[in-house]
Amino acid sequence: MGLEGLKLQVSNEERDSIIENMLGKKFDGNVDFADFNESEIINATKRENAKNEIVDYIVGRIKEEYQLWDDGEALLKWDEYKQKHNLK
Amino acid sequence: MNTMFQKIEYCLKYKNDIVFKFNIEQRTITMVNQGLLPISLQNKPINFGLVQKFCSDRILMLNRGYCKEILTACGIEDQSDINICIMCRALSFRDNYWISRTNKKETWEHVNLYENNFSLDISHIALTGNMQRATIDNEIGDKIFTGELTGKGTRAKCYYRTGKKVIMIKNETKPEILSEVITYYIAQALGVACSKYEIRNMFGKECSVCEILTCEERELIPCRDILSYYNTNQMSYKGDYYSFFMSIDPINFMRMQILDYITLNTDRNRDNFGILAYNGKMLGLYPLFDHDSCFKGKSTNGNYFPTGITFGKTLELLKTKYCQYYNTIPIPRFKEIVYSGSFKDIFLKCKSVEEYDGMIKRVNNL
Repeated sequence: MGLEGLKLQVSNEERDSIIENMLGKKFDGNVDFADFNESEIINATKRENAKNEIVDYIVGRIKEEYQLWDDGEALLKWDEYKQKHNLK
Repeated sequence: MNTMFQKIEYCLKYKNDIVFKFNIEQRTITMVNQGLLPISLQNKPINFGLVQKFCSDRILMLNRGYCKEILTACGIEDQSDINICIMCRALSFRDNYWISRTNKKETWEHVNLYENNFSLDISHIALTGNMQRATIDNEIGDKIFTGELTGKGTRAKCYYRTGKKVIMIKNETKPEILSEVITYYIAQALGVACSKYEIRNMFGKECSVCEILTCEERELIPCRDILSYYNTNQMSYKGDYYSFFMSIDPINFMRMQILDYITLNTDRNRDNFGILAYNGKMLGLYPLFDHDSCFKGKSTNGNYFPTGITFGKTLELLKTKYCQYYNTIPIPRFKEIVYSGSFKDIFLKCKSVEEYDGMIKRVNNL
């Protein structure tokens, strides 16, 4: 049997209804703006900023302790710094 | 391969119906119900090559994030495609095919991933690579199942059950996740069905989360399988595969291409779209998914996988050769939504002003 024989013979309405049941909404060209979850995006940004701040803070501490100017060099000292301060 | 496996007779099943039996040692297959062959195995000589093809198309890619860790956690030493498939019964969240020992009294109802528990420890390892939860008790077998060995793509990801739903969690960069998030709204405006993605922090990693939409009634036949049916790997607008998609669901197939043009989606590869099968019959284009590579394209001169020509030329193709369908898509209504302040507001919460301006320029070309 060719691929043509495996097609489900349904009307567009029946097909749309199956898709609607699958996704829980109609895809008819209308946008559900209320569905947009901004708080998760804000939280992701907060997490990203917090991580960056933590890195900046630690790099600053390492630079101070080892008298370094360069951030890259400070990052290379991370293992040594962790061991020295008994950090996990 | 373990010699024990080689002597056993296995069968490929569709739910509880045997499609064919095979013996690895003798490299033989016995066809039982040719009408149930997966699309990807049709149009081919009936020999042991079908087993090899089924298994190698089915299993995870070796360059997938934490592939080694997943195989180790599952207790798989022999990492040949066929052995991996046998060990996990080839169970997937894609369709209802699976592999069983011919004389084993287990049924689809006992093994399928939709109704039975699957290992959350293996899921955790698949997403994080953290092997702390890997123990002998977690190795897959008669009681522990997983869908992690039969997924496609290179990103670390996993399946997880929350209540009655199964979700897919994929570790991506924040811009990639936000591309997944916003593309769902662009698809809504275009009127093409699409999976909804959300951004979440799971196990300390930034991830996109979407619901798995397949179930026993609804299966995904990836474009890869349609190409296999036509005995080719090449996607081209001149190919049989393209004509087939245009015949089964022309409007939604065109909408997908328009969406990818607008967003310059650089990764609409053969595993990233397909056909929705409903109770074993092909219904139309599967709701769109995997949009982490939207807004990665540099210009409309970039190559678009499904047609094998540029994004720009693809749009021209749709407007000229397929104008009878193109003209039925309510482009003015779509433009009205995309130009609206409400749409711009949510877009700019996900992407940059430059990306918005670039998208609007492409929307103007529709």
